[in-house]
Amino acid sequence: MQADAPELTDAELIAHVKAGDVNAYEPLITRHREQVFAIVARHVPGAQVAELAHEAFVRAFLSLATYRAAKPFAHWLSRIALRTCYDFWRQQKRRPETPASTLDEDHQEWLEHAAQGMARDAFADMAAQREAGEVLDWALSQVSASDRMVLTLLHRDGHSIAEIAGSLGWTQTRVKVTAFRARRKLRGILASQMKDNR
Amino acid sequence: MHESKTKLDRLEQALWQAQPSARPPAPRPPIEVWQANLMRSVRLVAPQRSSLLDLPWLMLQRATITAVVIATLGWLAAQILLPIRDSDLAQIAWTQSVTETWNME
Repeated sequence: MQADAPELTDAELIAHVKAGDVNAYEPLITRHREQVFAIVARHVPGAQVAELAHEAFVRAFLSLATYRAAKPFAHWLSRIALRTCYDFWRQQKRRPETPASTLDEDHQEWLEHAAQGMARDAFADMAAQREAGEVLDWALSQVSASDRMVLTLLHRDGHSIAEIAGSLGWTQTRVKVTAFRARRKLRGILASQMKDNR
Repeated sequence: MHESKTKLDRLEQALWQAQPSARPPAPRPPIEVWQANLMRSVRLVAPQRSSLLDLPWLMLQRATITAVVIATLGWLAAQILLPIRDSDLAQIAWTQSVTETWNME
């Protein structure tokens, strides 16, 4: 099997891989790597993106026997990529030595601007945008892995409850309950930070 | 109270506008190197295909292991159950003999 096989569909390549032709997996990687990198980059720190994209493809390869052609391969693969990110955060939470990020004066200033409703100021320049990202990272580092995934998928990425349930393999009720509790938790964290800031 | 709630709403709204792209991008390895490493990992975890010659031998191995396991479990069950039965029988015989002795007395 040649590494570049544009004439074969995903389903045909998967059939080759299932028949034992490992090299048929390479065109699938080439075809879908950007999509996997994009998903992973939205959910984990930059330094971990390449490693987790690698892990997602290895997991997908090991699970190919369970893949049914009813849904597109890209959709199935994106679920695995998301699950890989979720497992990454679960492992991070289990490590007691992982240092929690802290907020400095610039972050506090951004919080004040944003709370005053000065959205334009809050995202005025690149520095403020970076601070916003760092504040979000800090806030999310205080919640559990499941809370983080649901919050980011729902509020930042704009996915529906049904889509999140499908991606994480949960029931819609579980997603709703987790989203409600996680949002309440996050607001509590932000409120205590604003109180400390006074 | 209401003011702090409004502040919190604004803050929360602003927070979700923060994009991960706003963070400094981490250096990424060249994609060819990354993909070559990935294919190496995939080949390592790929199950080795058993040839047709291997297949009967594997089936024979499985059958042998199954037979050994069943025989061992059977033997163990016999070791546990049979002494109990023997002791039960001995107990019954002893009870009968005692009863007979009492009756005779």
